[in-house]
Amino acid sequence: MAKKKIMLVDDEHNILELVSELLMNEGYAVIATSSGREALEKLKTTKPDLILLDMMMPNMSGRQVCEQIRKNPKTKNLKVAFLTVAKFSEAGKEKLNQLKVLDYITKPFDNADLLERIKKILK
Amino acid sequence: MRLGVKLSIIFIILSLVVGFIIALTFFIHSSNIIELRIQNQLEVMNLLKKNQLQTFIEEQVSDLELLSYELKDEYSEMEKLHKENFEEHEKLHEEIRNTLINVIEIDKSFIEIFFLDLGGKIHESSEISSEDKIKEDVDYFIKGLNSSYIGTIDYDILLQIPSLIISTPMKNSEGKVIGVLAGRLNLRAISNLITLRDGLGETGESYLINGFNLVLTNLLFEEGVSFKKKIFTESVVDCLNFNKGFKKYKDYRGEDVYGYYLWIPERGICLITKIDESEALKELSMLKILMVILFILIIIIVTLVSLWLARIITSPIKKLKEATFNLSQGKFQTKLNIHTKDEIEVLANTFVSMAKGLKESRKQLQSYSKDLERKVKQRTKQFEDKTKEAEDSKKATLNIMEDVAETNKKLKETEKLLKKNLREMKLLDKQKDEFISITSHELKTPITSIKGFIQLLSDPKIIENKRKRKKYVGIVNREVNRLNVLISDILDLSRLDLRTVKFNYEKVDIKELLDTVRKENELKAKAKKIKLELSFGKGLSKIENDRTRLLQIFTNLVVNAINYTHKGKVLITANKQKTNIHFTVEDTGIGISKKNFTKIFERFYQVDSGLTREIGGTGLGLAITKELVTKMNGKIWLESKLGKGTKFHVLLPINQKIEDKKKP
Repeated sequence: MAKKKIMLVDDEHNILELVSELLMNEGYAVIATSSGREALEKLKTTKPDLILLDMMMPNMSGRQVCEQIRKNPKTKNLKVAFLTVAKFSEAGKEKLNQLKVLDYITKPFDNADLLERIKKILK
Repeated sequence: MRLGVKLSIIFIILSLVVGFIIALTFFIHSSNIIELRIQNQLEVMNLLKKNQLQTFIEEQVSDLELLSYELKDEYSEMEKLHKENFEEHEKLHEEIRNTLINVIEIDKSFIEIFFLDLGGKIHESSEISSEDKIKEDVDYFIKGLNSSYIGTIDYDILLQIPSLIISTPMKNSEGKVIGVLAGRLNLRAISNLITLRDGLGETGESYLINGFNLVLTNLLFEEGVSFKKKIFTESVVDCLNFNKGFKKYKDYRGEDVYGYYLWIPERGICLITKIDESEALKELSMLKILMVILFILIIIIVTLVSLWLARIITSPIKKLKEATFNLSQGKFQTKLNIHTKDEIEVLANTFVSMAKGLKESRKQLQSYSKDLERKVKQRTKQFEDKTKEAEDSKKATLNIMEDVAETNKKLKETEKLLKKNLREMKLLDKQKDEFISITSHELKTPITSIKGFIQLLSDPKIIENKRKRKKYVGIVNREVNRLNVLISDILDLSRLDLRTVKFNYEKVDIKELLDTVRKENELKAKAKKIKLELSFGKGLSKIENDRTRLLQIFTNLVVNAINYTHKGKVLITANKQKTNIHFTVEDTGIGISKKNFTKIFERFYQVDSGLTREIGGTGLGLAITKELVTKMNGKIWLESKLGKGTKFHVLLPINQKIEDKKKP
């Protein structure tokens, strides 16, 4: 079976490194990007099985990146999950559901919990 | 431009154009005529030469015929004597030879005359050496037996001279042909005839050419080339194709010439008459000079005439112009001395009557305006009286209205103030929410890293990998430090917000203070190879302030300056300014764009997020600095240019007010 490909988008280099290490140890292929713009650029040439988006990023927030992904017919069906520090209100979640977000992983997270949830999404 | 000048120019241009066209036509026409005349002249000369040549040869032939007739008796006698008396025969032979020699001596046209018998043998000759030679197969012998014969001009190989031989039959007294009398013509005589240059000017000449392009006569411009030089000019080539004609071409010297050429079929030669173009057109160049002189004369005459004409036309107009000017100055000229008996005189008359009318109407106007003035004064006085009455009653009304307006105004101001307060409160509320959200993000980010990496470090695979283990421990260490600084910054800020900060005011030595800042950051600057310099103004006193807080302010600014500078220096200055101390922290770093001048003092504002992470600020330093400076009754601002550097200014009072000292 081919390796599952996961794209990470986070402006915090340490978190990018941490999650990459965790995922690679589990046998996933990882594409690490540090901004929304870089992620959208890479999506032109690659098709990941899951995109893990940080919510709070300068210049372009995770939500804006997700909107762009859904707008493009080539990428609109890709799986997206958020990494975030904020806990969303019900109304906020409703809005995000329109963007077909599969999960919200709250920072700080448990390493094992993170891997479990990703495994679930990719099933 | 003045009218007179304009008119003159028009006259001159018109006459010049006409004159030029006439002259040009005349010139082209006369040059055609001159060329035609040259052709005629050359053709006539050519024909004349041809006739002279023909006549000369024919004369020689008839001379030869006459001679043969004269010698008829001698040859008849010799015919009879031949076999009987050798002595008599010899005597007669001698006699005939002497006659021939005599003829040659008298008539220089012949070089040699000789008699050939029916066998083609030269019997008697003026040149004894050629006697007894046999010439039975030559044209002059064969053809000469029948009638008189003229040969072609050839080069005699034996004699090595050009020659033309003529011959005629010799008959005895019974009319029977007994031989041929032939004569070799002196070609110099022909050459002289042809090259005689009567009526051909200085460069004109005629010459003969034979069928092999060989010159037969002497040339004017080259000596001794007769029967040696070959010529291939245009005229020669065309002539040797049996043509005649007139041409302008380059002659054997390469000069431009006009030439007429004629093929003479009877002689098999070509006769050319030519003249240099420069000489032929001498008249034309004379004509050119004449025309230029004429042209200049015309220009002078036309200019004088046109100036005179323009003067006649413009002088009455000038008078009118002066009159108009006078009119505009208020002088009414009712007389104009213009008698040109044309439209201008009519105009002058109309002008005079107009001036008269104007003079009249102005008089009327002046009296009318005086009347008006008087009436206006009267009315004004009436109006002023009435206005005074009205104003008195108006004042009373106004006082009441002012009171009402004042109350209204105050009400509105209060309303405005209330609205403003409400807006500010809403804004503050929103800012508070945002601050809490950003603060929680900033706090949770390092916590996430710390938690994640510590968990990772407990993974046996990572524990075994020494490189990764070292790296992750480093990350955790740095993130803990970051969290520590962040928390202390946030606490600082919230204390400042809640006004629970207490300043311990004391007399602080500025030089010592800033030197401490420099010492603390010297290593950091050295690591980046940046100079860290201090500069103090004169008369720097001690400042009344909180030393720890001042250290915090300048350390913040200096650390920022070092972090954002890659080469050059950071300069700290302090100068006394009346009741304040003016500090600056100047760097040669990346600079800040103008739109960010106020934003950088906002909390968690990061000009370039990526860079800030690398450099490791919390995004709160400048916000705290600004809060501190403001609380110390000071001011902070900056100037900067992208790529050039940034200069922060801090203005702090030397002495704090008493109330601030007491205030917690």
